[in-house]
Amino acid sequence: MMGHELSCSAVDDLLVDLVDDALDRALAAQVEQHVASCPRCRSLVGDLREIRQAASTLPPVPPPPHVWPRLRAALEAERADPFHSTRPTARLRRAVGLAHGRPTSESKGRLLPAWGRMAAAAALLVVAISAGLWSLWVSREQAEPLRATRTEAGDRRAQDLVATVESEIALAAEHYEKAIAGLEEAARASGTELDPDVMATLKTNLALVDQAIDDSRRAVRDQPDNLVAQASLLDAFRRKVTLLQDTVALMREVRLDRSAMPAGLNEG
Amino acid sequence: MSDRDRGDDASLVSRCVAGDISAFEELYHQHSGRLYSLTLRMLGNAADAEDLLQEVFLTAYRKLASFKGASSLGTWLYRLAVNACLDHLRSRSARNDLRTDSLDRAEAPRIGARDPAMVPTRFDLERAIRQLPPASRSCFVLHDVEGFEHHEIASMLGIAVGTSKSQVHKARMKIRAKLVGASAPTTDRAGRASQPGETP
Ligand SMILES: [Zn+2]
Repeated sequence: MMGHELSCSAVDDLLVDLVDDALDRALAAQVEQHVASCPRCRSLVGDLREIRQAASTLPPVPPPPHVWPRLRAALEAERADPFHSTRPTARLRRAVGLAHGRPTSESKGRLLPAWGRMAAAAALLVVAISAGLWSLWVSREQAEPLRATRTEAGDRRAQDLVATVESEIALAAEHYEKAIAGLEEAARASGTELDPDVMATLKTNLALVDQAIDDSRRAVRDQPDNLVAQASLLDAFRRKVTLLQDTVALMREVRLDRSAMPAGLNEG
Repeated sequence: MSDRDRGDDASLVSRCVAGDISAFEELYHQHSGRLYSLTLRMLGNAADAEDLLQEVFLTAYRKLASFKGASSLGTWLYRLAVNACLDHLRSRSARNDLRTDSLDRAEAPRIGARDPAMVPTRFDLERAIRQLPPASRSCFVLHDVEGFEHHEIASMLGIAVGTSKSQVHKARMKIRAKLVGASAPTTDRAGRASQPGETP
């Protein structure tokens, strides 16, 4: 296709391989011969080799000093969030038929600190709620054998606890729902949302739990001393918080998997 | 990697996993320079590069417990960072740019004698890299700066080997044009538009 006399344009077509030292020896010799006698090509090849050489010896650029304090703060926020690594339960995974690591979302580092703080606040609420649930459970267990002689004061205490827990649960739910809305928005903005089927399943489950909460709440109102109704109300609350936590964890997991392990490179 | 490095990595990792934040700071200071250089050059702007660097170290922190020591810690972190960069680029409009070998062509070779000022200063070269379009920039950084082969870049970016070559060439030509300040005529032969069948 080309004779001994290479043209400048023929050299141009071989430049990338020439600079990469990827030409076979015979062709390379022909090109070098042309380059040696042609000022235009000599200048070009010299420059490109210069650039390649300079690029391969660029020294590292240290990150600006404010990056570590910011990272450290993000780490601490994450450590303060006791369920940051909470993975969606197997039950939820089955329910939504989630394939692991489905690439659906972009990760955005600057969302993390804000999210970390919100999660930490919600976590504190959950701790408070759990303590409330636990003490109610204890009082119920203690009350059980004494059913015949239970006092009105004891009933009131249980009622008060239900009211306290209910308001705390509402706050926690608000936090989680905000977190979910924020994650949904970020996913939408990046054009990569959670699978719509997954979201639909989560919303159906949430609606079912809300229905159970309403039913139990009615039962407790009708029969204030019905321990079974109280227990199912608390159980429904607990399921709601778990479901919201699972949803947040699921969305985070999809984002993290996407950011950490795209195709192409494997971890060592 | 020497046994001693491996041992140092292992002890640093176990201190991090145990929650020792000063160990993680040590790990950060050992590796952040190399990783930041990569994210900065791949993404082309400092704000995104800082965010991505933070994301990479947070991911590393979460995954450290699963670091098996099959490769060095540096290699493991580097892979996390390359993946994060690729993911970032894929998630942007760079996707089309990468696959279609965009229409703009490299600046034509300058006719004339060698410009003695051509030996690029580090500063000028960094700036010229920043100004490249995302597709040529990522191919150039991965090939000429980071030392990946064209076939490796092709598989990382999901493009043809020929596309990687033409993007790298285009980047070198653009950098040259920036460095010599040439306003070249457009009788281009070196731009090498994509060949038929280059799309994967
Ligand atoms: Zn010539």
